[in-house]
Amino acid sequence: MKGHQRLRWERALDSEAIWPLMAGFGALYLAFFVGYPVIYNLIMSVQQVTLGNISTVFRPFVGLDNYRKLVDDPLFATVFQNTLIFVTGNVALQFLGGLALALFFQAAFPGAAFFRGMILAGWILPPLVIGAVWKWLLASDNGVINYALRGLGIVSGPIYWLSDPATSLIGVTFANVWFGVPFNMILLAAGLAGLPQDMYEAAALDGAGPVRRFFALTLPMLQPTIYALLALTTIYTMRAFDLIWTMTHGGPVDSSNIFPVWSYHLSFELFDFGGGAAVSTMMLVVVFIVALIYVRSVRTERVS
Amino acid sequence: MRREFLKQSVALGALAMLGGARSAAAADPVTMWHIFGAETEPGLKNITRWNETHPDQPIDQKFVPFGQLSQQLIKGIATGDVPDLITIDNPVVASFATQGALEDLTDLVKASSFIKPDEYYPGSWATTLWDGKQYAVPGEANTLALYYNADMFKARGLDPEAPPRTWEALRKAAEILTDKDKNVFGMAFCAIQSEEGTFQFLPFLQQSGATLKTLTSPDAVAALQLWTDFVAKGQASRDVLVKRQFEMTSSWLAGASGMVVSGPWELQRMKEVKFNWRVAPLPHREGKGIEASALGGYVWGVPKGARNKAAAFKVIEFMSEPAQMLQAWSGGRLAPVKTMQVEHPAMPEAYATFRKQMEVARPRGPHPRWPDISAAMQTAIQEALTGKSTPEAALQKASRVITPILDRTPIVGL
Amino acid sequence: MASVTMRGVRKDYGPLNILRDIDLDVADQEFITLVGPSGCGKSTLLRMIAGLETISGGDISIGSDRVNDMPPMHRDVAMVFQSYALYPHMTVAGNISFGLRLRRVVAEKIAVAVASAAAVLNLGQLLERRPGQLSGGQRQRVAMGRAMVRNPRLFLFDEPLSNLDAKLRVQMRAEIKALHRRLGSTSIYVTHDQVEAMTMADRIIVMNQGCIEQQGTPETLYDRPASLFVAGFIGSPSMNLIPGTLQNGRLVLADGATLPFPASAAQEGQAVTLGIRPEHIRPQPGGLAADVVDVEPTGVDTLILCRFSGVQVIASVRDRFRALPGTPIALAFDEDKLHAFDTATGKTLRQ
Repeated sequence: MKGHQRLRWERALDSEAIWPLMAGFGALYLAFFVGYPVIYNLIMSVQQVTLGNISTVFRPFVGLDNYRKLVDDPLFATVFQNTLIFVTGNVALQFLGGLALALFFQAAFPGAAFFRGMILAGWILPPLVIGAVWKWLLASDNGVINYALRGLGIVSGPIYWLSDPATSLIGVTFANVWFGVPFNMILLAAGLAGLPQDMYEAAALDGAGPVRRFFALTLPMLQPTIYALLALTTIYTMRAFDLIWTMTHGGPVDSSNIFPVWSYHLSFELFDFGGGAAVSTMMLVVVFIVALIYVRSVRTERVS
Repeated sequence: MRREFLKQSVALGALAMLGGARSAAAADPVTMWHIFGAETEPGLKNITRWNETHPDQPIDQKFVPFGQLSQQLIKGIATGDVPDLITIDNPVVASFATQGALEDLTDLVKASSFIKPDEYYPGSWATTLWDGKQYAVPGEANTLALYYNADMFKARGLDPEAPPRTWEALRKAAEILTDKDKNVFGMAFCAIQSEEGTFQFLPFLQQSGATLKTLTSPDAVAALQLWTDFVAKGQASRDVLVKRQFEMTSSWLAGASGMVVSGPWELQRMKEVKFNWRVAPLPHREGKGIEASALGGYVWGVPKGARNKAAAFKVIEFMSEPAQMLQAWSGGRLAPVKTMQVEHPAMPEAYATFRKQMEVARPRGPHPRWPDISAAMQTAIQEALTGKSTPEAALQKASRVITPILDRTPIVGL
Repeated sequence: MASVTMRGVRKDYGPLNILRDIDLDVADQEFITLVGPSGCGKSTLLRMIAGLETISGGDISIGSDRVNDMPPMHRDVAMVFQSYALYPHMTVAGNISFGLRLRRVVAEKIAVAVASAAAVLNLGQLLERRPGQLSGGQRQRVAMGRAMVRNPRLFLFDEPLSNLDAKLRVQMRAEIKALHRRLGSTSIYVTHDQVEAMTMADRIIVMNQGCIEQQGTPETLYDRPASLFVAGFIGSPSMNLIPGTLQNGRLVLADGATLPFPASAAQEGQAVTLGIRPEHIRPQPGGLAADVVDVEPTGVDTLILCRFSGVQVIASVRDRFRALPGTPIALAFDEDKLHAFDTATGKTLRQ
């Protein structure tokens, strides 16, 4: 009886009749968990939203006022620039760091698996903890990093990593890079492991040295992985909030303030929900564009 | 043996049925969101007390971290899922009240025989009012004072029994206590870009003789100059710009500074301190003689749409009785009621100091746009302390934001 | 072009000894095959010549260069892999020209080289395709082209045809031979397929368990196998091997029946094995009495599986032959085509 039932199930799952069901489920999921919040956010961004009317959908329509207010805010340029630096810095450094580590651990030296595991440990820590640890490491007076830099004679006085507006963004970028590198490493290591070994042997016989093999074979072959990774890292970094909130609260003087931090500040500290929603929408547009570029690049890859 | 067990089982079963019948008849529990995270929190003890004395209507409680309280309440309001009772940070009451997010408790408070407004510290009471209406009831209060390392005072030739009482004395002490070779700063406070920074700076602004309405006055500039000098002269760490109050206190506990501005909530950590310490009232500005400190703490509010307003207010009244209020000191906080005093308190000197500070503690606002005012202040403090602007310029910029806000809606009594 | 010399070459993986004391000379322009069962070390030896495996002991020289520590890129050898090992992200033209581009050959020369290789290998229409869009045979030809254009001093083939179907294999076999004839390049070809080895090589090296069993021309290996292993490995169907004892110049089987045995270095009473190829057994009235077990017509020849005295043999005859299993048959052996082996050592007892 049981076996018969299972059989029927398996047959149903194998048959093409189940496809519309699957597609329908996918569409429902998209509409509910992706579409709804996006549209809700979009609506909020063109309304005047207060605590008094936040529970209804019919709130005073204000057009693009929220957006106009944001763009006119002197903070906008600062936050925009900070976000740009933070995201590009993170995407570049996380990728390079992840690639370096992935290549490093590809060499099967004794203990490679253990060290790789240890590096991954950084990734499973919550951002709040990582923020606290890095804040402590980067402290100007008794922080470990300044202590080390001074001990090595690289600097004479302390570097005010987080408390100097000139370096605070570097400080939080550093911490976020550290946080994101393991993820990059794992994806790139998986990509590297998928590359055929004999291709490298053929290239060696063709006369390609290690550097040439890397640029002529490894990089182009990893291209799909790299595209996916760059897109994902961009999107993850666009959402970085906890870490900065813990480390600097966006300060000093908004020098480490980026869009997600600003959005939170507007919505939940200043109770300017329309403004917060407008910032979220702008972030969403950027994420959407990145996703679109990624999807297109994957599609052309497959066609060619 | 077996018979005994059977008897017990029958008895238990009967009890269970009874209990079931009783709970069916009982009123809905009072739902409460609160900030009592640690197991030792007096608030939790008081909830347990209520539940023991009111088994008919127990409190159904949920902990929300302090930093997420506003966010949770907003989400609750947006989705229509609010508790009957909530603890609110006192400076945001006016914001929630003007936007219609809190129930009006005016009549209930007037009718209450437990809650007597004139027995409360005026500052505490003021935070619960907006536009002549009562939107909350003070639950707990805290304030700021100056902790100092008595051993370090002695070692540097300062009298540990005579803490700095004036700004000049404070400057002097900070200078003497600073030891750059040993990475020791004389002074510590919190100037972070968040409400905590405003909370710590306002007492100094008030001591100067200035108010939020006179930010461009020489007095206001003097207050910000005082803080700026501490950092510029290396008498306070630049990390005051990014470290929270508890982090600055941690540094002081580790011997990294001689003095720190902090609150009574840190007293629990003082039990493990390895040096002799004292806590003194904040100093005043010479020639002005104004004593001022900050006023923190939570208030009880009933969110709009709560299903159990009457029961919630009963809980508020219960929590306002001396037996519950005086618990606060065990968690390093104070009762917001002047007339209530702990007999034989732990750390009696500290208790006396902080009660004295409560007398001069002033509320932030109340103002519905307090968060905007505070944000402008934070920016001014940070611009001055980082050297991006002079204190004058920074305060002028803040004034340009704050003055129109106060012109439209003034702060009562300012 | 170059010769290859190996002296006392060893390969160890930890305690595991894969190759021991290999001595081998490959003359300039010679085509040799390394053949043996899987695990015999033939591919490892080839990869050591290419520089893809380290050498645990001994010396390998290409031309006058001792290459033990020379990286593959400097050895000037080309290799065709069993998996083809094409560059998946490059076009056919890109694959073929990769080595030339690395050597900074001028573009015009590259174009000429690619075009001529494409013409020889019939790849002209496919130059802009990628490996993923090609059939197995086309990929194989691209791999050949990639090796060819470099004009290396040594060609190495690592079972290049084993992933192709039978028909294509025969065709490619001929193409590789033709290529070798045209280019005259020294070639070492690894295969596990003795037919491939026989048909292609000037000289065959039979390897077994990390050693060279025997080397020589295909004819030598076929006609004068030096060991039971070679006798059994070379030839299809393989040589009949009948163990017994030598008594009075004849082979005595377990049941006392006797068979003729060639003149040899064997001692009276020694345990010996008689070898005879299927084509040297024929049905002949009055011969050795046996039973037909099965008859397998292959088209050209007919294979007759027979049994006598507990021994099974295969005879291969030109003429058509039909018989039901169990039919009695009389067999005759060509007595001048018999091989004698020492059963204990497996070595030939030929004098």
